[in-house]
Amino acid sequence: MQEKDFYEVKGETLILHLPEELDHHTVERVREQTDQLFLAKRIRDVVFDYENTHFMDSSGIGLVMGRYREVRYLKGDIYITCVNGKVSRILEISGLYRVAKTADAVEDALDLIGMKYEN
Amino acid sequence: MEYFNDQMMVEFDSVSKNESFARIVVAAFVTRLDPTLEEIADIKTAVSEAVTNSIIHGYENKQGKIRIETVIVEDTVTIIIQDFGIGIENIKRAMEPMYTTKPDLERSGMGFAFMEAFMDELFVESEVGKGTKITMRKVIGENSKIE
Repeated sequence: MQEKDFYEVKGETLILHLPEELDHHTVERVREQTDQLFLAKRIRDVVFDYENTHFMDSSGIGLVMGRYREVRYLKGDIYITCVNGKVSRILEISGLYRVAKTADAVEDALDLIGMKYEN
Repeated sequence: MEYFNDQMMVEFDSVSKNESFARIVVAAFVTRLDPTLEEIADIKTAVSEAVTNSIIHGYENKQGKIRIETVIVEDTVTIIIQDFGIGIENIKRAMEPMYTTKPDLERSGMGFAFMEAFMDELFVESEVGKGTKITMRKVIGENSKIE
């Protein structure tokens, strides 16, 4: 499998390739790095890539909610992509699908973001 | 009536890297009941929530011990997760979805809601200054029996 960077910034979009297990322990690490990027660059939209994620608990919900609050200041959006069944159940129960947008793949989310700013 | 009784107990430090250890060890113990992948995922999430609560709230990220006892009786697994930390003042409030005492840490307030959603039974006992004991129960293979 191709090695991916954990974080990518494309324009004003931050793409988070999330770890295999998203719990309190790993979320702290992701958040620390994400906070640095938010300070260093202007981020308007955030894409969460769950392709490699097989486990998530409520700490993962807190991570998405926190980023949602941050991007709302700039009228940005949160995109949830590549979700598998187990993670999807957690996202559904949490009600996150009501505030986040979804896309099948990261590229689809980037297309949606591109279209948003064309007009 | 004679029951075949199966029990295990582990105790570990309240550090976040033990969250994955805790859910893996309980999941491994429960495999003898031949659970589905979904049942295993449910148990892992519930254990993760309870252990995270002990670390963040019970011990407020300070040193402490967390004890997990798992008992299997026939097709039912009972998981008891106990800490000896600060305890919960208002259990009813703590269990409300979206309620958290630590919004600054970006806690979602969904921990107890997930434990309730993924397990069949949940009991919370707590005493301020003494600690908290979570008892969760789940019947394994319930869905396959109905079919």
